[in-house]
Formats: sequence, C-alpha cells, structure tokens
Amino acid sequence: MKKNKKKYIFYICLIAVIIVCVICIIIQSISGQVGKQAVVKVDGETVCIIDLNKNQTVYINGSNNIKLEIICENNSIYVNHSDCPDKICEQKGKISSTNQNIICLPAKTVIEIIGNESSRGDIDAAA
Amino acid sequence: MQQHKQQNKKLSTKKLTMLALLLAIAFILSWIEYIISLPVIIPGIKIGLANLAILFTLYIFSVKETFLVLIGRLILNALLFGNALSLIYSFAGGILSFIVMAIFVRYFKAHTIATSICGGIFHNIGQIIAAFFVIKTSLVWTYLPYLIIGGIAAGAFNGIIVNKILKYDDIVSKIKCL
Repeated sequence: MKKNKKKYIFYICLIAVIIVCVICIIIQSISGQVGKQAVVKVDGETVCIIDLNKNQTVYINGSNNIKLEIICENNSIYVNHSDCPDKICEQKGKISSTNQNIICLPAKTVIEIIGNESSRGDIDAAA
Repeated sequence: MQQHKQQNKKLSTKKLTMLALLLAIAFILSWIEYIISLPVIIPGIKIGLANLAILFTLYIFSVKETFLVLIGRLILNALLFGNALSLIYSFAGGILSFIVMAIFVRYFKAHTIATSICGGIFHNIGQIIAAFFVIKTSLVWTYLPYLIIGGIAAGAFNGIIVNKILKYDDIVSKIKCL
C-alpha cells in the first residue's frame, strides 16, 4: 500500500516535469522573431557581430585552438566545420530566429541571434 | 550478513575483483557508445550505457564501493576519449547523478527505473551547470528542457535493463555474498 503511494507520487512528479519541459519548449519555439544579426562569443566575450543579410564565411578561433567555420547565407547562419570532437555545433544546423542559438562546448563558443533590440546600438554607433 | 558487512570495512580481494570487473564493464559500455554513434533526434543526447554498470553496482554493493567504480570510470574515460574540459562535464554530471541515485536507492528504496530516470535527469542538470560556469552564458539553460526529456527516456531504458538483470537471483545473490 505504502509502496504504491510512493509510486504514484513519483509518476505524478515525472509527468509534471515532462509537462513543464514541453511547455518550455513550446514557449521557446513560439517566442522567436526574425533575427538581424548574429553575435559570436568566445569564453563570454563578444568576438564579432555578423550581419545576417550578407552572405559570408567567417572563421573563428575558439578556446583550446579549435577553429570554427561559420557560414551565413539567406538570412540564416550555421557552423559548416568545427575542429571539436563532438560536432554538436555542426549537427545543430541552420538557425535564423532570436530564440535559437548554437553552442560549441569544447571551443567555448556561442552563436546567438539578436533581433530588434540591437537596432538601438546601431543608432548609437551611427550617431 | 549485513552486520558482518558493516563490521568488515576493508575490501576483500574477491569484492575488489568484482568491482574491477564492473568498472571494466562500465568502461567497455562507454567505449561501445563512443564508437557506435547512435542515431539521436536531439544533438548531444546520449543513452549513457555506462550508467547500467553503476546502477547495478549501487543495487548490489554499498554506496562507497560504487563511488570507487564511478571515479575509476570517469578518470579512465577522460584519459582515453576526452580531454581536461570533458572531464569537468563528466565529473559534474556523473557525481550529481550518483548522489541523487544513491539517495533514491538508500533512503527511498526506489525501483530501478525510478532511480535511473532521476539519475538521467540530474546527469544532464549537472552538465548544464558545468557548462554554465565554463562558457559563461545563460543561453545553456535553453537546452535544459530538451535534455531533461532525453534524460528521462535514456534513464527509463537503462532502468528497464538493470531491472531485468537483477531478476537473475542466483547470480545476484552470489555476487552479493563476496
């Protein structure tokens, strides 16, 4: 009897966790806007800002001497080649909206898409 | 038997050999996982087959002895397949999931599947925490819901297998008596 009760509590907690996770995933996928720029950060510091409008290839030196080849085309950005062993950043594929990001753990590199918030910075820079 | 076990704190040779064998099994399982890249839907998700051996050891031997196997596996893995950085992630995930699993087995006397699922979830949480401190970005938390669901699936898979293994009473009781 007592064992059954524990079992039910566990199942309820498990289902609650799964529901919370699914809600988080749904909110994440809905909340995205079309991005304008991609910020590349290595070890927490911004290395370069890539305009998504231009088609270009950027080479980044990440931590631990890992080189990343980042390609930007058709308003989306992806890691074409990375020297890291796990290749998770390559598998992640193309990203284009503000709720998406690419993280390469061995290279400590983060590619983050920014949207309208960045326009403020642009105006400041232009002024 | 239980009292005798507690009095005799030193490892017997037979037990040490058994633990070494389990460590070898854990190591081989992680090697298998390393060479056969299993098809996964979410990049970065692994089944964590090595946890099979850790979970099995936890149900048969004491927490202390399992901890020895775990540390051995983590160090061996880092030496052969990884580098200093992957050692941080595997230690964070491995030790956090081990603590949670040990609590589940010892205090709640939980079923293998429940223990394994919680171990899987906390392994991923530990790795995310490590990643947060290493690459210094809060973006890593956005991966957490995906990783938790992956951890539940992988944990359930491992738990079912360990449950099946523990049903072979004659072999299990022989190992326990060492």
